[in-house]
Amino acid sequence: MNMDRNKDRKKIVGVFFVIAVVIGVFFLFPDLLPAVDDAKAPVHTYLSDYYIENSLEDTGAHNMVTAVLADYRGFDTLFETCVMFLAGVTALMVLSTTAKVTKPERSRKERLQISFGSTVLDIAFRIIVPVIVIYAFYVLVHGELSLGGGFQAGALLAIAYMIDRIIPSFNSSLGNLKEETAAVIAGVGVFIYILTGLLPMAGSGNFLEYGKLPFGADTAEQIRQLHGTGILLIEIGVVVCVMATIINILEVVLERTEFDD
Amino acid sequence: MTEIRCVFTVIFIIAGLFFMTSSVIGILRFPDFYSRLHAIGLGQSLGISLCCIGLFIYQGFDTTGIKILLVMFVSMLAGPIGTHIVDRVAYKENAKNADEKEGSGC
Amino acid sequence: MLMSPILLEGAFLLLLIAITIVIIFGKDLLALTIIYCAFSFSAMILYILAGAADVAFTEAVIGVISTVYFIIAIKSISRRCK
Repeated sequence: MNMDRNKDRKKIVGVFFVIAVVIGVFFLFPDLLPAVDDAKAPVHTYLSDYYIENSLEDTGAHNMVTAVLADYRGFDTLFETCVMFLAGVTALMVLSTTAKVTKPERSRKERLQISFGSTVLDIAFRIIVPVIVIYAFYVLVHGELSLGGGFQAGALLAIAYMIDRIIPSFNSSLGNLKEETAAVIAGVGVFIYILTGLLPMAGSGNFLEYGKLPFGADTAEQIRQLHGTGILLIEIGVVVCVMATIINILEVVLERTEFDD
Repeated sequence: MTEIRCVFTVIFIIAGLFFMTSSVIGILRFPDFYSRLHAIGLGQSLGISLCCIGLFIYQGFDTTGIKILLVMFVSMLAGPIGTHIVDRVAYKENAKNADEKEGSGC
Repeated sequence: MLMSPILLEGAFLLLLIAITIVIIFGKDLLALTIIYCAFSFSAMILYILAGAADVAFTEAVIGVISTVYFIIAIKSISRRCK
């Protein structure tokens, strides 16, 4: 008991010391960081004006965030997606030495009959899961107009899978993806992204230059629509990768914990 | 934007906030797990629905208004489902009532 | 002055610090995962106040997923800390 109190007291002193130091630094030197709406800060003078004025004409996307993420900085988003894929593979590798928990096998016919465990949940989830999937596709397709994009849609699809996997008892869920399959699907997502990048090279352009996709475009209006098509193809790759990575990590952890039902 | 619309919006939002606050006070003061679950499940669903009705009155009947109604519909659907799931798990794990021995549940 | 944006942001930042202190000194791991969800929620409100709506939407979705991960991970270890 004495050791606990000493440790607690040291933790309290340590936490307050860190908070006091951080707040003190930012009060004593108020010029350390520029103000948020300062018009002369380096963040605002170099590229932001170009993006604000020209992003609608260049890409045809009303949502400037998606235009910058998927069109002007598409190369960075490619490596972000790669990092997500690597996170899934790393989780697979790190936890592969722990033994899996053996469960009794059930045939597919038995699995189709066992349901969520009570009548209310049966009907309720048959209503909610399609709503979530439709909302995920809505968020994916409307990435250029309003909030959304690939990452949010992929996470929503993974939530729909998670609902079906966790809430029924352990062996009676319909969707049952193995962890290796999920890792492969994440790789397919990154592959779709890279394929969209390689296609403009067939139309004599650079990597990830949507204006020269070989779909046939002459006027400026059609080039703007090509930019929109390129953004949509990239977001499909991102959706597949994000959904498969989240499902991968979920399956890796679920297979190795014991549930008592 | 007439004055009557603003008045009704404020009335509905204040009513919604009142129900949400009372459910939170219920969590802190009820003696037992099942009563606390009852307080959250009812209070939060009603509170969110009233706030959404207030916002819908303010917004009017266009696209954003219909989206607000959809949010209210999904939230009214998801509240009781969540309460039901937690209740089933607590029943299986034998959370105790307030009048049995060995203290209260969770 | 009562509802100026700086005051609102300051209130939510103080809430963030308070939640962090509770998480550090808490003892019941399962309750702390729920408080981690509250941390994610208040971070989302701060993103909305800073004007970034896309980031707030993503934080809301990822908060749910990471809370589920933590709950599954705590199932294998004991529920009391220390």
